[in-house]
Amino acid sequence: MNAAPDEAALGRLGLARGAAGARSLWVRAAVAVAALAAMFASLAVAVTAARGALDVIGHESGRQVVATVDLYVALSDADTKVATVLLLGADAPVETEAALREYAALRGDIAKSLLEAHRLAGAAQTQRDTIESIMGYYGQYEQLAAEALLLADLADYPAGQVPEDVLAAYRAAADLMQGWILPQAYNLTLENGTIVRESHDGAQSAIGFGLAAVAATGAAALAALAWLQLHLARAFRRLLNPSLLVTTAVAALYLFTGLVVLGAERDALDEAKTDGFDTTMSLKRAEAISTSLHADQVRYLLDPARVDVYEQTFLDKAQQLLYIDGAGNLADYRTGLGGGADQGLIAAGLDRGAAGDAALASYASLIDADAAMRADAAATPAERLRAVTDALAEYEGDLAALVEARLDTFDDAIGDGEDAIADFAFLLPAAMVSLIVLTFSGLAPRLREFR
Amino acid sequence: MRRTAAALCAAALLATGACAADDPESIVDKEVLRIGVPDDYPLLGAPDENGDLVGFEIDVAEHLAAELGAEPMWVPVANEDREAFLQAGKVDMVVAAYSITADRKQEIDFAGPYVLESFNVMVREDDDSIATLGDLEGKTVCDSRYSNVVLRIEGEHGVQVDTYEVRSFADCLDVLAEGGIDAIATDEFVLAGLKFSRSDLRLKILDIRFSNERIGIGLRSGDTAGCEALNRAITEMYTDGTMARTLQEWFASEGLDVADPPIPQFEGCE
Repeated sequence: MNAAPDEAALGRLGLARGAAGARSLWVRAAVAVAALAAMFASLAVAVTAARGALDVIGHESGRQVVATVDLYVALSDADTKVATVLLLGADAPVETEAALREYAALRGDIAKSLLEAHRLAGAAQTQRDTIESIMGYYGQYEQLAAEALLLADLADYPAGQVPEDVLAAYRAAADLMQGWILPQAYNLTLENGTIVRESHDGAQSAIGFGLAAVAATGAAALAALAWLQLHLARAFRRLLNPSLLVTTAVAALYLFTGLVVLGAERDALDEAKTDGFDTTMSLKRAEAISTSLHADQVRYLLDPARVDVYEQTFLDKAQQLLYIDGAGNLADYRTGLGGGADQGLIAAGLDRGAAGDAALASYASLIDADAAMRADAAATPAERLRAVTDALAEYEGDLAALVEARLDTFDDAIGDGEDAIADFAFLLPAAMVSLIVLTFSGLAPRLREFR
Repeated sequence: MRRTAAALCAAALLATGACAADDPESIVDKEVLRIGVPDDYPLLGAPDENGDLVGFEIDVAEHLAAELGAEPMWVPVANEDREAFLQAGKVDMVVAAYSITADRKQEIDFAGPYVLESFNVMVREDDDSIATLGDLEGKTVCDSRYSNVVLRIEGEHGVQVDTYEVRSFADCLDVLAEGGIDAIATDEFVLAGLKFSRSDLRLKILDIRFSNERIGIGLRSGDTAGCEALNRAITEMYTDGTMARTLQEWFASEGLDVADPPIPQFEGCE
């Protein structure tokens, strides 16, 4: 028998023995391992993107939203306390004392919130600049407010009859607060909302890409392993290589697990963003707008020259909280509110639970109390103010309860997302190494045959 | 469907390195932005001697378009057409003394506000009968269709006025000077421009700032990425002093105090 044609025929079949045979085995094994590596790399990229997004939403910008709104609320409340003291003058020492005490406490809160926001800004230079700018303006505000409080103390006037020099000093402080300090804090909240959205969208794209890539590379890896198996069966007349069979089964399992985990991660991210972050963001913004709503009430009583403007800004803010179609003035708004509302920052954060109903009811009571306050020109400023502050306290309590509940949902969603991928950092390299070992342990005896 | 789109988007990302996370129609993806601007409000948007539109709104819009990396294309838009042009896709955005209101937000979205101002009142120089908003009761006031000023006067402040309806406030100038109507009430920037354009008419602007107008950029509903990009550009205009300079350039000579403009609190992009 002539050996040469046999070798040629075997070569055509890809079954050449000797060096050529070993090379073809190596090539097939390398293709299988490369496809496996690509599958794990795709998984790793998608999982890393998901982890990054969860960090941003759960621990960085998501937290910064909460911190900057808390800062906003403390700043706005502090301004309201100053306005309250100025409004009450010498007539209501108990209320004035209380407001001054709260103002002192709020100054502490502001310092704390500023530091927290600065810490959370991390290396983000624009955010740090903004917070430092707020710090600078707030320093000026404190001076102006102190000046107004001192002038008021010296003037010793009856409630509601604020002397022009006190008003002028307060206007300077209030303009600074409304025109430079609060907008920067609020815009910082919104900017962090943008960062969360971008990070979420980026991670969703990466996961979508990861799913497609994992499916394609996984299928390629399984095909390559089958090709290798087939080659061994033909070349060495063994029906199955057990080690390769295990490799194939484990690779299929990883492929399936990878697809399931990525799918679950996509849902967890969506939930963290939509049910967790978006509703929390709406409610936190509602908290900010609500405190400045009250500021407008106090300023309405304090500054007769600007009554028209403060009434309008109150209505604009109320419309932001709960929108009433076509309500052009506060009376229309109040009437419309009786018919229910399903749009606005509060509505966006509502679930169908009792906490939501309570918040809606106490908001409606606040608007009623506001109408009474505006109508009751005969009452003393202290009485008029008391009517709204009680309603406000109840509404703010209900809103805070709603925020708490939403923050829990938010934390749970972030936790779920993190749990789903928690073991992947260790699992992915381990799986990769074990599959490569399995592949070559299946080939090793065959490769020895070529020696 | 959304998943398919996301997968396709991801494939595009791989191939080209560019991918719009949002609707492909977002203004951040456009090379040419059709911007609705006023063309008959001097100082805000009006033709110069060469017929090119110039003014505060034009400068702001030009700057924002550049920040978005797009070429601006001006589309003159009257007050009454602003929502309709956006919804019909005739313009990509509107920069035209456009006050943000809760009702308008049901139809379109707003980026910004990019500037804050007040409504004010312009009367004949020799007319001393109007000193407060209440003095407008029973008087005839110019009303441009789809402006929100008469809603504010009557609805919010309960002052009942007769209206003289026109397409543009500019159409009221001669009528006011001749005594056909008593006042023009609108944004103080618009009033400054109207007065500047017709100094021959002997009109005066009062000091009745009866509202707090937040002037925003009209956008088609749902373009969150576009809205956020504009807000970032506006923030930048305040931080680097561009807004203060632009305001000074157009309005300082008209006696408006715009040297240190307050920073607008954004509406937020939904």
